[in-house]
Amino acid sequence: MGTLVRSVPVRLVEVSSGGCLLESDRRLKAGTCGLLAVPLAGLVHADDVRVARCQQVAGAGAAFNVGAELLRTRRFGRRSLRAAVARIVGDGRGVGHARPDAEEPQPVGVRTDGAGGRCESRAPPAHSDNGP
Amino acid sequence: MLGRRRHSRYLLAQPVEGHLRVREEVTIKKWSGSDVVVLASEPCACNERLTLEVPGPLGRRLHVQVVECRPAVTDEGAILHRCRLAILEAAADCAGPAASEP
Repeated sequence: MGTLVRSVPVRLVEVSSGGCLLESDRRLKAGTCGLLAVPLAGLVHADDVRVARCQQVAGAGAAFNVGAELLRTRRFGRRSLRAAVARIVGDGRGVGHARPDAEEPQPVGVRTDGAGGRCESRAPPAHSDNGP
Repeated sequence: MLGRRRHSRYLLAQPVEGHLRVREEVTIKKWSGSDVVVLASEPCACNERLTLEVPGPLGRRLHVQVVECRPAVTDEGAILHRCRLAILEAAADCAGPAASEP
């Protein structure tokens, strides 16, 4: 027996204290566990995640939105991704840009509160049952 | 999916590039000096570069490249993927399979 380790490039798009939304060029099976490492503020933050869902982006070729749950399998330390997310979620202030070399990643002012909330800028067009 | 999300979400103004390291158990079928044949549950893309960790007292970690990947049916009827991997080099941290997780 052996273990095959593959490194899948991803982009961190959204964060919450329970998980994150990633973009990937590869399909990832729901239930897949892995170590997510993201450079933020000059430091690589890593934590184990579990893929909760993976949906192909319509009309974007091989592009997938991957919802991942942050697992509490590692110590909540300085290099923990959960710690970095907690800082982003904690301040929740104004519009900003998150860059790997930035002092502190900041969210844009699109906060969604409560269950079932959605980001207005990313929501699909609303359906109308009444028709034109 | 109502009630699926319990936490507020924050959209980053600029996505941050990162890596997801996924591990998969494979069965090593053949090992020669320059390549390894493994049976995996997931297919591999040709020319894809991976790391193969071999457990044991002298645990080894090898950088490999996929040369060939074909479906294979096991004796039990399960469909697996037979992948031939070319050994590129031993990873620098080959002291142990789980030596250098960040």
